[in-house]
Amino acid sequence: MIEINNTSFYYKKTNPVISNVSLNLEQGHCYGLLGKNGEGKTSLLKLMCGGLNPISGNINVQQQPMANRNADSFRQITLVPEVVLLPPVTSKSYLKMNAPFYPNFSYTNFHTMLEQFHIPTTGNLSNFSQGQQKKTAIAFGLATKTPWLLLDEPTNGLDIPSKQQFQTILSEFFNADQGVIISTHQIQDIENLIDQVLILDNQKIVFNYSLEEIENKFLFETTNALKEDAVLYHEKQGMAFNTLQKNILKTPSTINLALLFNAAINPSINLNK
Amino acid sequence: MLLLTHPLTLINKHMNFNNIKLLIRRYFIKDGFNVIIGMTSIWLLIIIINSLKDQAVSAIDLDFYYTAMTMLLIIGGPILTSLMFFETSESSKGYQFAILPVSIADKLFSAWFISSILYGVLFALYYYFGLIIFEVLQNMGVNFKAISYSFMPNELIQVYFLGNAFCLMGASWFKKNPIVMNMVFSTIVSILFIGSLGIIFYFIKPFGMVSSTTDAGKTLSINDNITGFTISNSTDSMLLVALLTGFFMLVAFYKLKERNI
Repeated sequence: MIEINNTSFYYKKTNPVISNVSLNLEQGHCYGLLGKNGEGKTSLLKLMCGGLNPISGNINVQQQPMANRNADSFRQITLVPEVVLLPPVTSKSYLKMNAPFYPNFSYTNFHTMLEQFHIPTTGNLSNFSQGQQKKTAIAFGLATKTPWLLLDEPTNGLDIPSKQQFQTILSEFFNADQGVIISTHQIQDIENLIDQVLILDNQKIVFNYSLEEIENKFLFETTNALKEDAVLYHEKQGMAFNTLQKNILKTPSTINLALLFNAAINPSINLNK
Repeated sequence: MLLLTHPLTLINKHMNFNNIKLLIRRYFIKDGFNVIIGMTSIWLLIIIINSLKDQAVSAIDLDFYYTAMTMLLIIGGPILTSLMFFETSESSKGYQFAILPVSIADKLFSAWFISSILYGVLFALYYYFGLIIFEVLQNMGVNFKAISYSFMPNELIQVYFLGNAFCLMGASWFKKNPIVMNMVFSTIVSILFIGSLGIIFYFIKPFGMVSSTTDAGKTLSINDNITGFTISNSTDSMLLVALLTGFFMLVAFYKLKERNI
């Protein structure tokens, strides 16, 4: 479990990034952390993995305070950042450098993932393309088998087939006893992966629901005739309207994450009511 | 006492020798080859220059070798130390090291061991290998000038360890340009330190608490010839160096603990 307690962070005092955020995240879920550019998604992930020290509050991962920055706390969590620049070594050397620190590291999984991603096993990693370096880092992150895996914009820099491979690999190698948090602003890339939606806006988590809860709570409908009083939020698409409504009759509908996101960050709408 | 025992307890609690071994191995895989290539190149250059520069007088001057090798130890060591945590200056490069499941004490100790002990051992190997080469040359009939260089291993080792600990503190402190920042920082601290010592000795000298005699034949050490006073005997200077080294390491520990990626 990740417990974030009243955590705040800023790089400059005048420009807070995270303000007094409290959040509990359970293993066995794949969380989608959504937010606009510059909203602090990366900072929140870095805070969770102990890469940043909070200004106030505290973060515990599997009951280990991340502020301790010790072996026990770092063993609970892995991060794959948005931009990855690997050292000038081969993947074999990279494994020798980093894998022994992770007691549950799966060499088999790592090699299988590299194969599925079509990453060459020879050659200098720093000479690989950004996409290839990222895929290597994702494979390494998944192979560590730490209780938590944080992926920051994992599909940025990946080509279309690689995005699909990423989805397949994550589904295949994600264990039920692990937790994954995927930060992205490219909602369509993670729609099929996540089962929980977190939306970060104005330095706070403004939305935190499972897909099941969202399905029960909201009705997503495309209609030509807009009944404004029943609609919480709508967007015009061609001649029709994509609408977000309260799901009073518990009618099943397909979740439109982009619509939900836009509604959640709209200051005049409160989806938590 | 609490100030001292608390960090020591922390370090003891969080240090794992297997992790330290893995961190040293990690460093060798990543940078070891480059360091050895760099050091070999400089050493070869010193040997070649030393062997060629005195051809005109047909006698090799070993003073140059001693001086150049001392510089390699005193300057090369701190440069290597300054770069120990440079990997984490960018999160895209350093995230893996920053979140490795090891403690801060493990990282700090392994960095100190690599840059102070292993570098020192490597230096000694090169140093004595150079001397063997010169010995072979001498046996082959090459002439050597009489050596005037006064080699002070104790002082040299003290300066080396103190300088390295200082640079390790700087390496933990400065994310960007750690070599330049360490040079600037060490210059400022040296000026302040020497200035303070000068002022202190100026005031306590009339009370006979320090001897003002200098030993003209003695090689420069940080404690005496700079200020013109003999302030201590060897044990005292070793104690001072040990205390300062401990202090720098302690600051390095806390700066590394605070360091963000």
